[in-house]
Amino acid sequence: MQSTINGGPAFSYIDVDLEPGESVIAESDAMSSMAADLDMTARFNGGFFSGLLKKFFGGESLFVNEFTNQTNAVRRVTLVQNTPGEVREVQLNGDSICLQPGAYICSTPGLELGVRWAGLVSWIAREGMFKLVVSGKGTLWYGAYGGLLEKEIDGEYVVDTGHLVAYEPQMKLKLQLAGGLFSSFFGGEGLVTRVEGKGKVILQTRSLSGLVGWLNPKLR
Amino acid sequence: MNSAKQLRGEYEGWAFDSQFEKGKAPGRIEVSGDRLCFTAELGGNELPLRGLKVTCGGARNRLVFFRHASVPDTSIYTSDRGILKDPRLASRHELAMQLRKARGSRLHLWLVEGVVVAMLALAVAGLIGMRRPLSRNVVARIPADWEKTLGEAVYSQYAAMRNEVKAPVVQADLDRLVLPLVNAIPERPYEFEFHIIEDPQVNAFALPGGPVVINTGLLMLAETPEEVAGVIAHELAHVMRRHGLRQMVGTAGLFMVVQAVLGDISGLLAVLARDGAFLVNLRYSRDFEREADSGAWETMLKASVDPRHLCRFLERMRKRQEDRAGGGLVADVEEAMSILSTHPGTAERVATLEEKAASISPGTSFRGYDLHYAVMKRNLNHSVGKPSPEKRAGTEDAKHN
Amino acid sequence: MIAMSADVQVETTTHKRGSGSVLRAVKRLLAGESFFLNHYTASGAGGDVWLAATLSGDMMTYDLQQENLIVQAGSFVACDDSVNVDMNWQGLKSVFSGERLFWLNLSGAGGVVLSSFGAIYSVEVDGEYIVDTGHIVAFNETLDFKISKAGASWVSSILGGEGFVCRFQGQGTVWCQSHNGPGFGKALGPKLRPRSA
Repeated sequence: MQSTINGGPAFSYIDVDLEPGESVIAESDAMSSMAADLDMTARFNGGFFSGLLKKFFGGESLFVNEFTNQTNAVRRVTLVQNTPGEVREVQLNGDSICLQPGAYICSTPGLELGVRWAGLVSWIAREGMFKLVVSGKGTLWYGAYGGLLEKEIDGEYVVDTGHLVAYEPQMKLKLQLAGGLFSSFFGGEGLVTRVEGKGKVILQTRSLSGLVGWLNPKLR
Repeated sequence: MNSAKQLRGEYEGWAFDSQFEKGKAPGRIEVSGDRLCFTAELGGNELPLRGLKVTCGGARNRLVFFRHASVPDTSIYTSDRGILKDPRLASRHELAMQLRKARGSRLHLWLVEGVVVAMLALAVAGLIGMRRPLSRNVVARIPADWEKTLGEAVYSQYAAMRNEVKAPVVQADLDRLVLPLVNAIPERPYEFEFHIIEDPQVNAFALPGGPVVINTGLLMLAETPEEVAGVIAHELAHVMRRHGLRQMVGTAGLFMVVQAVLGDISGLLAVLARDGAFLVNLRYSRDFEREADSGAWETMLKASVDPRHLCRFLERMRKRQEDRAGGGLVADVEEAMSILSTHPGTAERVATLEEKAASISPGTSFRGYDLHYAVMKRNLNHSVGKPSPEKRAGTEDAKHN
Repeated sequence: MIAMSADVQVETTTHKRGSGSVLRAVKRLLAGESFFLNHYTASGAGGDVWLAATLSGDMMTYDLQQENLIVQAGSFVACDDSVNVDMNWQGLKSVFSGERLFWLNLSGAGGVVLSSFGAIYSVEVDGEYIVDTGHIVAFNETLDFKISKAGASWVSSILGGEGFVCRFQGQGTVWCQSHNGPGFGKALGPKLRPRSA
């Protein structure tokens, strides 16, 4: 399998070239174009109940598509994400990574998408009650709204809610008020996440709630 | 297209061929005796006419493609459909068939699409034609409570700007008049309330849910209590058959109706509430008028009130309208507001009612109202312009609502 | 138009000069383009016109050579005077694709400027290729196009979220965009404040 991320940092998309016999799994509606003789089958996202959990709490789709190359030559499928932004490829070798809802785009069949309780913190911060944990052996592609920044943390770090994309599973998240008690507590803007532990966090440079916050007053 | 070009056998076109840098190039196609030649700026190719394959293709199915088995990876194509009529090609027997098929393939596509469009149009027309049963279904689902609220709301708005005649003696007369009619309507989900409103306009109307308004103008024009009873029976029939709502739903828009049929009546209710004021001077369709007339006739027969008086009253109204026609702006406006304008087709209705009247056997006896209509009118006259008893007692707020 | 030299003449009409009519303009309206076209003419000394599109994304130029380019309405930005802009009825298959009913047909010879939502990438088709309908920017007329299902079965297609896709057949180029409006709208929409009636 060969894959290239094209489209620049603003509109990244993935060109996946599948060798005969290979397949790639992608979330619903992620396919933008593909060779006509590739097989496409819809499957439950990890099993029916798991899929339901992921849909309602993880913000993922109930079904995923598996693209398989049953021909005897290389075939291409182009996979995209909903929001304009960067896409990153990650190799997992038995380890895992936690993704925020909506960040997952596609992965190779050896990876498993699990749902785990994210803690009350996550729910109040409107990040969803469950987090998506991707584990196993294979390649994962995830994307964001905006550019992606990576940061190694050792100790503590403060992240604005809505900008967190992915983090290593051993990190702990704690909710905190950015400013005083009255700084938009109910709007959630005053909340930030305190990340503790030793590992990596991936952030996006834009946030949908930021855009929404700018748009909403303009809507009558 | 250009017969000159056809004569020369030259057309503009393109060819797919790996010899070209981009894999394809624009150029000129020439039809000669035994081959099709393509010449581009740099390069060209040719296909023999013997064994040539002609097809229609492309996104709009109007490009003409030429291929030949001997050179599978090349093809020549053009958007100039005149090539299909080229005499050199047509003269070849084996090509003539292909050319004809290519010419006809577009027509075939248009025919298929035409049929589908026609079917869609029929479906839409069918939906529009089904409006009546659809709107009846919808009105049946509007709860009577809601109707009552709407009717009362519209009535209070209407009455707030006018005086109601509440003199007890007139009220008593009215009650006596309507009682047999109301009793003749067995299952009524509404409580009918009768209001006499001071207004020289000859008009009477009923609102959804029960309030009935009769203008003093109408009462003064009538000559017998049975005539008034006829008008009231007619209006009651409108209410019982929910004509007001049905008429408004009919104009609310097909989409709202379909939505309501499919389960969500809130949109429709909102439209009706907003347009409620129109119920006061609603112009019913002729069908509804006919229905109300026959309903009134039935009710009156059941109540043993002589229904022929309704006919007489309508006839008098019609004559009056004729006499006043052309009477200037004031008369026209008056006419527009009168009962006749909201109840079209008077002559027709009179005719229908007279027919019905003919079927009443001469010996039938009807209830007489223990009511001297002239006395009632006199009482009415006295009460008009006088404040009602409660107002006399000192509470002035009724007018300021 | 973002900016232009002071001595460029602008004329707004319903049609391309020298051809067309109000009917053409109405057709363009149906296709989602604006009723009016702006003609920019430079004076003797030449001039600049800067053009932009509404949705963020790539722009591309293409040189038409006596051929037809079928373009998604909304992607068209500008063209040379010698190019014809017309509405294209793609037949009833467009009805079922869920995408716009009408596309634009650009024909003749000259330069054309198109825009997209996202990055534009091209696919050289020789045989068959599938493109999600929301991701098509433009394609050569030489390609046959059919609306069909993506997977082996309809169930797969619909559950997998792909639904209807475009199957291109023949030889030609398809230009695709990496993002599509409705997709972004779906991510953004639920978070927006509901409109008051």
